Amino acid sequence: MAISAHPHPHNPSGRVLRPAIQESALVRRLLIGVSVVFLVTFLFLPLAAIFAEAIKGGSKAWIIGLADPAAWSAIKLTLAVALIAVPLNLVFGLAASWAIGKFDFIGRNLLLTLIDLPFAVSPVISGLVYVLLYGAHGWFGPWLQSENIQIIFAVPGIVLATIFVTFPFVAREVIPLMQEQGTEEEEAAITLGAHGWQTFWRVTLPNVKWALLYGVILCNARAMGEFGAVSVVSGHIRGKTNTMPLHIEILYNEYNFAAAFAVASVLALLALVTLAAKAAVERYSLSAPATAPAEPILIVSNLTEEPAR
Amino acid sequence: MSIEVTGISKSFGSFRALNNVTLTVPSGELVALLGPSGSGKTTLLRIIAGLEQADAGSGAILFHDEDVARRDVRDRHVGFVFQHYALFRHMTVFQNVAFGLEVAPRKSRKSVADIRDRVRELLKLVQLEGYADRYPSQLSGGQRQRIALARALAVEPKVLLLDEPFGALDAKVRKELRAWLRRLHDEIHVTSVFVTHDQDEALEVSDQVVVMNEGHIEQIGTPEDIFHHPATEFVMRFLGDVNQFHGRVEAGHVHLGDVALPGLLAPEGAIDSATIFVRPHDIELDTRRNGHPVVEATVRRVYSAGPISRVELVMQTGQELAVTVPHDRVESLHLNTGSAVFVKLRRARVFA
Amino acid sequence: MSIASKILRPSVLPGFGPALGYTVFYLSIIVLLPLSAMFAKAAGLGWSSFWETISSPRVVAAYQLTFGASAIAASLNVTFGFVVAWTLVRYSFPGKKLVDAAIDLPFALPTAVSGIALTAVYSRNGWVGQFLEPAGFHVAYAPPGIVLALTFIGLPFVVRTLQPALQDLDFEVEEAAASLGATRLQTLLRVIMPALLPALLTGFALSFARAIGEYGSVVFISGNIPMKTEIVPLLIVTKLENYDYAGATALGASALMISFAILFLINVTQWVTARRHRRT
Repeated sequence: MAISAHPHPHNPSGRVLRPAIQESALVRRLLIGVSVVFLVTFLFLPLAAIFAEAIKGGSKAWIIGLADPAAWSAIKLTLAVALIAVPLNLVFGLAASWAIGKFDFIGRNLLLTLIDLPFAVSPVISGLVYVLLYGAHGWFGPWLQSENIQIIFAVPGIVLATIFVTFPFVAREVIPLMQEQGTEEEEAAITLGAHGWQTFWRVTLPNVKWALLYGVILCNARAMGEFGAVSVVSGHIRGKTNTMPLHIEILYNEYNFAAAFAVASVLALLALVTLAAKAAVERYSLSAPATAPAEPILIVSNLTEEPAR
Repeated sequence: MSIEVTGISKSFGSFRALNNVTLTVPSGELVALLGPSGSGKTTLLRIIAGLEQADAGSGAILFHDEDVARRDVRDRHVGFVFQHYALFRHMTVFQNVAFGLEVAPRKSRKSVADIRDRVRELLKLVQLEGYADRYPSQLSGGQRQRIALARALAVEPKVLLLDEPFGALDAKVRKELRAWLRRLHDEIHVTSVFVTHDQDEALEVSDQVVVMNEGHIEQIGTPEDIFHHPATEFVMRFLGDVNQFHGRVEAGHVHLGDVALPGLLAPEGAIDSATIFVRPHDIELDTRRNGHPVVEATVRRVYSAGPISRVELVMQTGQELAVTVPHDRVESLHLNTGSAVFVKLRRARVFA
Repeated sequence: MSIASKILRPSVLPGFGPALGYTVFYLSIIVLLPLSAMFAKAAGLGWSSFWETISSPRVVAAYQLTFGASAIAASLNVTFGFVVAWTLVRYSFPGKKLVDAAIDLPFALPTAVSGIALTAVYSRNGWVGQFLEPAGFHVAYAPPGIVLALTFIGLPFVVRTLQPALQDLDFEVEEAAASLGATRLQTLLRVIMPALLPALLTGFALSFARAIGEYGSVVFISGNIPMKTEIVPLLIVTKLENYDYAGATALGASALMISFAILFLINVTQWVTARRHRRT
């Protein structure tokens, strides 16, 4: 740990200690006030409303809303979809970051841009493209029909659409970190006699584990919460192709608000757990002495072209 | 185990990093590859290690008369110490040093107890016995460097290759570590090659110095050879300070204005416009002529903080000259800005 | 030097072939093939029917609403997001860590949940709506509701883009401005803002790009009245539900091209600013 001879511009609480560039107390309070009011009306009130609405009818109504067989099957389908989509994108993320992060080849930046594409696609269009590929009128539609395989308005379509919208999450977290860490540790392992897999498992993977976990957490949150893309391909068959977000929509449109908010409260809890896990990973990855301070990179894709090494 | 490199070339795109390099490192010696950045020294080291491939069709790399040019890094049994150490940051010091032993093929792998003993032995060798459970981030730069060395030695390499081993350390630690490396080498005698851009480091530590420039070797020799008998203008300039001026040379004399000064090495032939090189310590100053051929000069400045003083002169021909003389001499001659002095050359060189 | 080593810089690390192969394969079947299927379908429609679809009054109205609401939402986010990022980076106040973590809530909260939550707060009987409605200000089931939802989902993009940029600002530059006699406001406008401009633009573009594609959080609060509160993604869904695949394809392709154009602009902005920084 380098000890800087210069006074650190921040104290631990993050406040600027340099008096010449400090705003007056009034301005400071005003700005904090504006921030808090804005965040309360836009973020905290809606979040609180979910739980308020969910328990408005008492705990019994809440339990009934969740114990309903249709709700239960939606929960199971949501879990199953995430359980398929997240590992697939995890494997992809590792392969992509190994190729892009550790090697220097022509077309690397193009590949990075293509991996980001799903971020730029509207969820509705993410579903639409699969309808146009596998639906009855799609490219493979007639063939699939003759083989009696159903993808659209069935679980495979939901899985595909979910994979599409969560596609870049893991890759986007791990690629920049692998790039930044370079190849010296891997080269050292190889000069010491380690083979490819040994190098990957024992040197590369431990060095990116926090970024990887971070990516998985975000990927999972989106996979469980996706609405637009899944809505287009699902067909909304109750008890069969309804995920939790779709189930909420149906209940809501039936004016069954108590049940809708009961299911919504579960997803909101999941979101809070996600945020807590994310914060924990950020904190732990920065304080762990053993690992590199793997600054977690936000999912807002940083599309800057990395300069070639 | 000796290392023999014959006719190796390497290009990156249109940049020629190495151009037909040939070099022999005798068994058990410690050899320095010395040169400025971009001279190809690190590339050569990485090619010897097998971390880079030489250009197809260029020469061979022999370890003890055996061609290893096509052999995988893993099978070359080299110990490589990286410039920035490349310690595994998520492993303790112990785990780092043990790594090479633990990834060995099952049939040749040591037992857990043997590995532990070997790691302890190595930590003792690098004088970091108490640090087994620390992480690299908890060590100083010099300690990390020694751990990197212990890790490389753990697999009992046939040759040890070090890339700028002290490059990232501060001046004081550098000095300590290079003396330590020399003693360590005298103890273990493994054939070693290290890359450096620091002339003092190369001259102090190594048995042989290989001076490199723009992808080729300028000179190979012992530190004394290289310093006292530079073969090329580049070596002359790269190793230590040097005065450089234009003049005429003839029959062992340097002609400055209408004075012919003796002291020129390589006295054959005459050149009308030669570049003449003189080290600051190869110049004598006096305030009297003493009958010898001398050039008159005026002292511009004296820097005398230290045992050796540095005197800047302007010669009567208008050329500038830097001279180093013992501080006592400056005092006895009463040298000050503006003093008139007479200059004599002890050794001057020209390169064809 | 061989052609192969020009394409791939040689390395002792193994596994490049399989890793790249799998990456390209997976990318192709999940992303590239479906996207090209849509563009191929759109191309098959022919220019006149494509144009007919996207120039119909209902589509034009939906585009106007989507772009208008997205632009307003992105502007709100840049304005308030700057204040939020500034207070989070520069000041300390109780609950700051909680607030910082909560910024990502719109990322983590499923859009459908956000949609019904916002509706619950801002509809006639909601916590806030009950005060706004009597004053004649309709949020839910009206365009302001759409702006509200789009602001909600776009906020983290702006704050998270601005935070690192603010952290990277050199205090010494501000102190230099102060020593030269600049007031705090002058320093803000003439020193800080120009340095933050790339981040502000990127944040705006990311928020805008996310907004024009947003569906889940909007459909619950917008009321979905054709020509009035119908956004483009909803219109695509409506066309699909009416088995108008050609219409949905045309609309989808046009929307996607606009998204890509924005993505391209973000890239160019960042590339240009990165170059400028490298030069100094």
